[in-house]
Amino acid sequence: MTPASTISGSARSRVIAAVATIVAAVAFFSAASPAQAADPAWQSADQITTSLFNAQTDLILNDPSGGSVEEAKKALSGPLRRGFEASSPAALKVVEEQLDRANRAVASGDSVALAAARGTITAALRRGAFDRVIDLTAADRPEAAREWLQIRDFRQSTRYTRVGTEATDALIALEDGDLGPDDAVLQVRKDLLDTYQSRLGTNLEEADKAAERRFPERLAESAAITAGYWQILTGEYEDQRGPEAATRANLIFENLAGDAAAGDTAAVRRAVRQATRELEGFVAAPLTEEEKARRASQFSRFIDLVPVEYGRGVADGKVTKAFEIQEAVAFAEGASQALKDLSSDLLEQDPAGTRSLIRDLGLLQADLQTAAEGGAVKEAGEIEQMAGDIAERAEGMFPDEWKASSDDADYDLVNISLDQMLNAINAGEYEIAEQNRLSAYAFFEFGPEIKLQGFDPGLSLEIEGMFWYGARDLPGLATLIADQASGRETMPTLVELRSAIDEAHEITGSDASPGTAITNAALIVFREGLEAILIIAAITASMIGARQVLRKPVYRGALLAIPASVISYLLMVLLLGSFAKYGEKVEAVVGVMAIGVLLVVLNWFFHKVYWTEWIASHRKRTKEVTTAIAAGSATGAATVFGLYAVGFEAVFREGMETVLFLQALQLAAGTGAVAIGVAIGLAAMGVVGFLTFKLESRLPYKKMLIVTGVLIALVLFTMVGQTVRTLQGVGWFPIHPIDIDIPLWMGTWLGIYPSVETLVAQILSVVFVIGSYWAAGWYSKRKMRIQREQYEAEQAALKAENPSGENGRNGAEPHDDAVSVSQERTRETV
Amino acid sequence: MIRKFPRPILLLIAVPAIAAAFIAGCGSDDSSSDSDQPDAGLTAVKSYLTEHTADLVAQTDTLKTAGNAYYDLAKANDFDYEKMLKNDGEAVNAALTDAKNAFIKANPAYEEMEGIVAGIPRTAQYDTDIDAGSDASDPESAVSFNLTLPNGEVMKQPGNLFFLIETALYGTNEDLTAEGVKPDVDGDGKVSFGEGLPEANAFKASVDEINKQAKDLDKDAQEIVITPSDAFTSITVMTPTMSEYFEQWKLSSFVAGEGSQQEEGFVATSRLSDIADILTGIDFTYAEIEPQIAEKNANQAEQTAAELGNLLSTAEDLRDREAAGEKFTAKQADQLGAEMQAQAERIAGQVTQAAKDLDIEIQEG
Repeated sequence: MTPASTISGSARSRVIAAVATIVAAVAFFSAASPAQAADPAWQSADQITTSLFNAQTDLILNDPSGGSVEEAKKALSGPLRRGFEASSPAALKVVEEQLDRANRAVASGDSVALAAARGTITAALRRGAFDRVIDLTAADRPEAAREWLQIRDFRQSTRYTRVGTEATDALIALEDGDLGPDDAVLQVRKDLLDTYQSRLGTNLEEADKAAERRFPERLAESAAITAGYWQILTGEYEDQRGPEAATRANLIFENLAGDAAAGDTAAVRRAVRQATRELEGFVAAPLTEEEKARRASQFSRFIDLVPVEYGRGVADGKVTKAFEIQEAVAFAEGASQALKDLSSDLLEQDPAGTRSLIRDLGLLQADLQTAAEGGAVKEAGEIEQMAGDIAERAEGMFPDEWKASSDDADYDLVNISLDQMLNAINAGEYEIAEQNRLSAYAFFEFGPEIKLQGFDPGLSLEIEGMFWYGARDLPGLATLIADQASGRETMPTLVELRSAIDEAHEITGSDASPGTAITNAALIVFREGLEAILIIAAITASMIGARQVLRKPVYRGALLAIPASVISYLLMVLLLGSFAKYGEKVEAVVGVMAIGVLLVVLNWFFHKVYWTEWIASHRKRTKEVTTAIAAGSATGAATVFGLYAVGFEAVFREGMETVLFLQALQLAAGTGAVAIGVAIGLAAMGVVGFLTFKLESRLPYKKMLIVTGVLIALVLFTMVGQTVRTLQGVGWFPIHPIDIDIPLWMGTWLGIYPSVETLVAQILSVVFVIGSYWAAGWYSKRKMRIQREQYEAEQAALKAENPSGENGRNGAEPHDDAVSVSQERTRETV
Repeated sequence: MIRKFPRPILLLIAVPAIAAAFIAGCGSDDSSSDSDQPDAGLTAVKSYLTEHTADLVAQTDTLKTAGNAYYDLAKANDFDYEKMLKNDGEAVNAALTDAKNAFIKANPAYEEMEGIVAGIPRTAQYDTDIDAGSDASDPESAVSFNLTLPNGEVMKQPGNLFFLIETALYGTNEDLTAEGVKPDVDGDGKVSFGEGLPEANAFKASVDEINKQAKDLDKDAQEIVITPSDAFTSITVMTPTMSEYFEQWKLSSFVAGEGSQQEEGFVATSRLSDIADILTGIDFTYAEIEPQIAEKNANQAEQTAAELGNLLSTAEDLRDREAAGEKFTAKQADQLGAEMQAQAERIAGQVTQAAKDLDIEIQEG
C-alpha cells in the first residue's frame, strides 16, 4: 500500500501541459498580433483560479512540479487588469496581494495559507467582475458586460430553486433594446446579489463543517471565500441596516477569515454563529412583491401539508409509512426555506412574533426528523396542532398582498403535487398518487388554466388531456394511475406535462399582445355562447303559434343569467376571497342542476309538445284546440318557472367561466382590446344565432321537431359527460379509465372521455332520451285509446239512444287518426 | 333505407357545427405539428447511448446466467449454504467469479452513459432503479420497483440494483448475504475482503431485474430522439453531483480502508472511476451541443469546454493515480471533491445561461 506522503507527481502533467499550452499560445499570439494580444477577461480569471488550484493540488498531493502561481500572476494582465483598474481597483489590489501571499505559501509549503489566498482571490475576482458588469451595463454595453458576466458564481440548484438567469436575460434584453440600462442594472444586480448571498451561506456552512472535521485547508478556503463574498454584499447591508451594523458585520467576517487561516477552529465556529445571527433576516436582493406572495403561498401550502402527510404515516404511536413521514419532513423544510426568505420583512414588522414562529417551526422539524429517524413518534393530532398553530400565526402576520393567489405560486403547487404523485407511484401508493394528481389538476384548473384559456386554449386542452386521459400521443396520468403504471412508465407523460406547464407558465407570465387579446376574447365569447344558443334554439323551436308566448320566459331567463354571472363572480371574490378555490365545485353543482333542468325539459318536450303536436297535426279539426290546451297547460306557473330556469342555466353555466377568462385577458392586455374582442365575439354569435333561428323557422314543422329533439338530446349528452368529468375532478366521483383513444376535441365538444363513469352516464342519458320518447309515445297513444274508447262508448250509447245514426261518421274518425299516426310514425322511424 | 335530410335541416346542423369547428381550429395551438416532423435529434449522443445500452444488456445477460446458476446450486442444496460450499464449492466459486467479472464490466458500461440516462427526465427513472436510487426510507429518491423473490417474499423498494448486487457479491451487506456461514468462497481457508456469499433468492431476483431493466432501457434508447433540450438538461442535472460522488468515494473502502468503510457499495470499482466515466459521457454530450452554443456566444462555448475538459482530466488523473496504487486520504478527497463540485456547479450554471440564450428548455425531472 502506498502511503499518502509518497504520491508521485507525474500524473498532474496533463493539466499543467494544458495550461502551459494555453499560456504559450497566448504568448505567441501576443507577439504576432498586438490587436489580438490579450485573452478575454474571463479567460484570464479562469487561468488564475485554475493555476492556483494546480498549485494547491501540488501541495495537497505532495507533488513537486510547482510553478503554477507564476502562471496565475502572468494571467493578471490585459483586459482583466484594465477592467479592474477601471471599475474595481480595490479588488485588483486584493488579487495582487494575495498572489504574493500564495507565492510565499508555495515556497514554504504552507497549504493552509495557499488555500486562504486562493479563496480570497476567487472572491475578489468575482467582486471585480461584478463591479465591471454593473459599469458596462449602466454604460449600455451589453456585449462587453456579457463577457465579464462569465466571471461569476451560480446559486446552487435545489428542488425548489433553479440556477438564475435574470442577469443574462437582462443583458439580452438590453442588447435587443427591450430594456433600458437602468432597469438592466437593477436586474443584473438582483441576480448577482442573490447568488453571492446564497453562496456566502453555503460557504459559511462549509467552513463550519470543515472546522468540525478539522480539515484546515478546506476551512481556510471556505472562510476566505465567505469573507470575500461579504465584500460584495456589505454595501447593500449598510444601506439596509446602517453603518454601525455594517462595521460590526465586517469585523465578524474579517475575524472569520483570520481565525480560519490560523486554524483556530473554536474561534471559527464562534464567528460562524455570530455571522448567522448578524445576517438574520437580511436579504441582499430584496424580493419583489410577487416573489413574496409566491413564498408566502408556498409556506402556507407546505405547512398545511405537513400534518396531512404525517397523519397518513403514523398510527398508535408508530410510523406505519416511512414514505409519508419523509414527505412531511420535506414539506416542513420547504416551509422553513420560504419563511427564511420572508423573515426580513416579518422581522421588521414583528420581531418577537417572527422569532417565535421560526423557533416553533424548528421544533416541529425536529419532531418530524426524530420520527423519521426511528425515535419518538408524536401523535398525529399533536403535529396537526403544532402545524396549525404555526400556520395561523403566520397567516396573521402576512400582509394581505401576500395572501392573494399568484400564478407563480399556483405553478409551484402544481409541480409540488406532481412530485408527490410520482413519489407515491414509486411507493406503490396509487390512492395517494391519485389524490395528488387531483390536487395538481385542481391547482391548475382554477388557477393558471383560466388565464391560459385566454392566451392559448389549445395548450390548455393538451395539458388537461395529459392530466386525464391522454394527449400528444401519450396516455394521461389518470389512466396511468388507474392502470397502476410504474414510475418509469409514468415518466414520459410527466415530462411532457411539465414541459407544457412550463410553456404555459411562460405564456401566462407575459403580457398578451392586443391582437391575441382581441382574437382570444372574441373566441371565448363565441365559443361559450354557442352552447347557450343551441339549447335556447332547440327549446324555443317548437314554440310557435299559440305556444309562442312560452319563448318569453326562456329569453328572460337567458338575459337574467348575464348579470347573474357577473354578480356571482363578484360575490365569490368578495365573500370567499378567491373564486378559484371554489370554482370547480360550483361548476360541478351548476352542471348537475343544469342536467336536472334539461331532463325535465326533455321529458316535457316529448310529452307536451312532440307527441301532442304530432297527434294534433293528424287531427286537423281538433289541432287548434289541442294546441291551445297544450299551451294552456304549459303556461302553468311551474312550467313558466321551468322555462325561466332553462334559459337561465343555459347562459349562467358558461357565464361565470367567460367572465373569468375575460378578466384574465383584461389584466394582461387591457380593457380596450378585450372589449373589441367581446364585441366581435358577440357579433359572430349574433350571426350564428340569427342563422340558426332563421333556418329553424323555415323548417317544415315535423322535421323541425326531429331536429329540435336531437339537439336537446345532444346537449344533454355533452353536458352529462362534462359534468361527470367535473365531478371526478373535484373527487366526488370515482375514475375508471378505459383504454381507448378518444381525440381531445371529442371531450371539448361532445363531453366524451375514456372513463367508465362518463361513458356510462352518457349511455344512461341516451337511454333516458329514447325511453322518454317511447314512454311519451306510449302514454299519448294510451291516452288517445282511452279517449277513443270513451268516445266510442259515448257514440255507442248515443247510438243506442238514437238508432237513426245521425252522427255515425264521427265514430270512425279517432280510429282512423290513430291508425294514421301509427303508420306515419313507423315510416318516420324507418 | 337512408332518408335524405331537407337542405334547411342540414344547414341548421351545419351552421353551428362549422362555427364550432372554426373556433376549435382557431383556439387550438397545434403544438404537436412540430413533433410530427421527422427529426433524428443528436445522433452522435444517441449512438453513444445505444452502444452502451447494448453493452449493458450483454453484461447483465452474463450476470443473470451466473446469478441463476448460483441460485440453482443453492436450491439443489436446500439453501443450506454450508452444505453448498462443501458439495459444490468449485461451481459456486465459478458462478460468483463470473458474476463479479460481469458486474465489473456492466458498471462502467452504465456509468459512461449515466450522464445521459440520468440527465434526460424521460429515462431518469432507469438511473434511479439501476444505479442511484435509495430504498423506501427516502421517498424523494427511492427506486420504483419491488423485488419478488423466488420464495414469494417481496422486497419493497429495496434500493438500486447495482448496490444490491455489488454488496451481496462482495459481502458488505449482511442483509443480502447468507446468514451464519463463513463465506470462504475460494476455499483458501480464510475470508478475504470482498468475499461474499449472496442470499440466493434476493440475488436471483436482483440479477433478473437488472437484466430486464437493461433490456427495457436498450429498447427505449433505440426509440428515443435526443433533442438539444435533453442534452442541455442532462449536463445541468448531472454535472453538479460531484460532491456527492466524492463523499461516497471518501467513505468507501478505497479511501477509508478495507473494513473501515462506512459506504457498503463501491467495493468492486472505485467511485472515482465512476466519476471519470460519468464525466466522459457528459463531455461527449457537450461536444455535440458546443457548436450551437458557439454560434450564439463563442466565449461562453469556449469557457464551458475548457472547464469541462479540465474537470474531466482532473478526474481521470486521480483515477489513474488510484489505479496505479496511490492511496488518498479523506482530507485530500474532501478538498478535491469541494473544488470539483465548485467547477461542476459553474459548468451547470454556464450551460443554463447558454440554454437561455438559445431559448432551449431545461426540463423538469
